[in-house]
Parts: sequence; structure tokens; C-alpha cells
Amino acid sequence: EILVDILKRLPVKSLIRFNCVSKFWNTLISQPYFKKTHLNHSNSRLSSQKLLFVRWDPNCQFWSGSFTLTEEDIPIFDCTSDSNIKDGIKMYSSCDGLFLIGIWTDSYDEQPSILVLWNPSTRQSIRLPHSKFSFQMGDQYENADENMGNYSNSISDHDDGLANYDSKNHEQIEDYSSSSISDYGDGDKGTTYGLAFDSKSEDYKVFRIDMSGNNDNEIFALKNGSWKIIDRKTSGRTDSGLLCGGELLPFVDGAFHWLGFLSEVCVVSFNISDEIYGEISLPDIVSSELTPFKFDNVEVQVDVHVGLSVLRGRI
Amino acid sequence: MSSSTKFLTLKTNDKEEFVLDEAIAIRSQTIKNMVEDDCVSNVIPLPNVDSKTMIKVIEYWKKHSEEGISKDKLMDFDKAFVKVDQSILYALILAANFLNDAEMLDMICQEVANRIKGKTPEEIRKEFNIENDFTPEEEEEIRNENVWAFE
Repeated sequence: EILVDILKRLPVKSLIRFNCVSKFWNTLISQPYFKKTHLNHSNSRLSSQKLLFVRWDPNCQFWSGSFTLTEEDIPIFDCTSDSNIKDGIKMYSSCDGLFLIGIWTDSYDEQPSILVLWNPSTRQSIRLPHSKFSFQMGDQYENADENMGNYSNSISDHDDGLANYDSKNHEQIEDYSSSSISDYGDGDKGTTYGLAFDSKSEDYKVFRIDMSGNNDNEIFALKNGSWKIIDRKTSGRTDSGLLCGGELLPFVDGAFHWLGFLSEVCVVSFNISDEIYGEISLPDIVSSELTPFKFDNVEVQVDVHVGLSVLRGRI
Repeated sequence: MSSSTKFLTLKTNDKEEFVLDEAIAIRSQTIKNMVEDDCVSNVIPLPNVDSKTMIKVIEYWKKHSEEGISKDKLMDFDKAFVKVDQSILYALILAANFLNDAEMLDMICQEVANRIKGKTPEEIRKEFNIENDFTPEEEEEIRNENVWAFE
């Protein structure tokens, strides 16, 4: 008990090293309970909060900086060394020290070639399989499906492993691109992703939204290791793509939020536990301002506080 | 509810007695519970704490109970307070744990964490008297998984 109290204060690097002190320490450090304790402790301290940012000089490099500004920024070994970043990366979302990152190896693709879930502290990364919309027909699909089977085995090994701190090995990167990358068609334009922790199922989930509203949205649960199309009937979905307001999906109260269009412009929410859509209407003044401009060049910031939404629209 | 005595007598495991203002002694949740449950007789035995450690604990409690003491001063005091031998520090942890003083326990655990975070596994084993029950192969495997952490 006291040992946990001490170990939860250690940096991840020390913990990984102390895995080989003894079997007891190894078990203790690897426990989900300990990971949660460690995460809660880190979250409660400003000094352990870090910023992750990217520098191009000339290659892509990740740096970690602290809010306190007392520590120097340090370069981090990145998740992408195995792949060739030619045409950019994008940080979609982050949660509990995990980052959802899209990597482009071909600039002509609308979608990132690789989608990676990365924990910079443990230097572990998991390559997410491509979603179902990337390969809907023919041989390619079956091929990918087979791979997906393997993948979910390896990922379920991982199970609760991806909290802020995790000590299991990071051999999980498997090459998916070979079977599915070539398949990216025109139908897969304009999607964005959000990463969040679902406290009900105690799992990390990635939500994929089709910004055009033409295709179904999907959700990826880390424990399952596969994508699932969100049922339009049970989820209460009325067709709504993502209008604008950037491609970030603010996550509040168990749900992602974005600006969409149902009968009128409104804030659409999606709860990742129940997989149900919701709708928050905008104040008249904002929606009337938005409508005439057909939402071009409109930047909207969505801030949703508990039970209360605050929106600021500007042109 | 509360006891009528203003002072409590605490008896450590080496039979030393400490008379302490109740208001200060109830920084210990353990003692506070005893007082609230009215099960305080004349002397409170502290079977898990020796007198040497208790002196340190009381020094801490008194300083942190001083009226109007500035945060900076307390921080300086805390810094100096934890600059002790490893053995005293561990005795303090056990005492703080038994007495259930979350604030003190938090501070000392942080100090231990600071002291050990840069150490190698070998040093940790020596420090805590832990036997390495891995085979050389097993240990090698764990090290190889995360070579960077040993650099």
C-alpha cells in the first residue's frame, strides 16, 4: 500500500526500469489498478502536465514541453520511426496522455495513411486498423478482415494496458498498410477522429465522423480492436455531417460535440457509452448569423460546460 | 462526542510517554477517530511507533499547527524535515501510515520517490532489500523490451 503510494509518484521511465527489480514489483507496476492510480496522481499535479508539439526541422520531430516552463523542452523518440512521414501528420485528439495521430505517406490521400494511437511516455504505439469504409468490397476486404482478426488478438492482450503508464511490450505495431492503404477511394473524403475514455466500459474509444454526412460514422473500442458502424436506428441519428468549426471534437460529459445541421444549425453530440446522438440548439442570434453564410469560413468554438453550452461564432 | 481532556498522553512502543495538546494530536486521523469514539482512556498506546520517530512527528505537527505561519516557511520546514537518513524516513512513513496523517505521508512518499527515481534496479534491490527472483534470461527480456529506459 505504501509502496504504491511511493511508486505512483515516479516518472514513467523509472517505472519501466523498475519492472525488472523483482517479480512482485513487475506485477505491481503492470496492474491496471496501479496504472489508474498513477494516472490519477499525474493528472492531479500541474507539474506533471506536459505539452506535446511537433517541429519540422527538416524532419518531423516530437517535443515535450512542460507548463511550468522550468524544465526544458525535450525531444521525444517518436512513434513513427518505422514509417516514412513524407506528407505530414496530424494530431487529431488526445486523452490521458494518449495521442491519436494520423500520418500521411502520400499527399494525394485525403485520409491519413496510418492512424496511430501513441503513448509518448511509454513510447508504445498501436496502429489502428483502417475503418470499414476504406475497404468495403471484394478481396481486399476479406484480406483485411483476416488481418483484423490477428490484430484484435494482439490488442486484447493489451486490454486495459493503455493508460497513461503502461509497461507491456510494444510489439503491437503490425503492418496494415499493405493490405488496405491502396484501397483508399474517393468515397472516404473528409473524416475526422476523436479519442476519449469511456468510463462506463472503462475503455478508450475512437470516434470517426464522416464530415459530409454521406457515410456512417464509426466507433473503435480499443478492447475490441475493431471498428463498428454506428447503427442509425438505435443511435437516433438524423443525417448530419460536421459543418465546420475545425476538425476537433470537444469531449464533455461522455460525449463528443460538433456543429452540425439537423433541421437547423445546432450542436450535435454523440455519447460514446450509449452510442446515441443528441442535439443542442443554438441561440437564435448565433444560428441566424451562421445561416446566410452557408457556413463558409465560419469558425466556431464550442465550449460545453456541465449542462450548459457556450458558443461563440465569428466570421 | 469529544473528550473532555484537553491533553492526550501518547505512549510509544518503547514505553516513552508524550503529553500533547489534543488539537494537535488529532492531526492523526487514527487518534482523532479514537477521541471521537470516546475510547480514549488516560494513555493512547502507539504500538507501531518508537519514541525517536514520535519526536519527529510531533515536531512536524507542532510546526504545521502554528498559527499564522506562512506557506513559504512551512515549505522550508518540510524541505529540512525530510533531509534525514533513509532509515528515519522509512520509520516516518510507517508512523505516518499508522497515525493516518495523509499530509505527512504524502510529503514523505514524495521525498522517497525523488530519491529513488534515478536509481538502477540493482540499487533499488539493495535499498529495499529485495531479492531478485528473475532468472538472468527473464531479466534480460524485460530490459530488452524497453532499452531506452535504461539509458
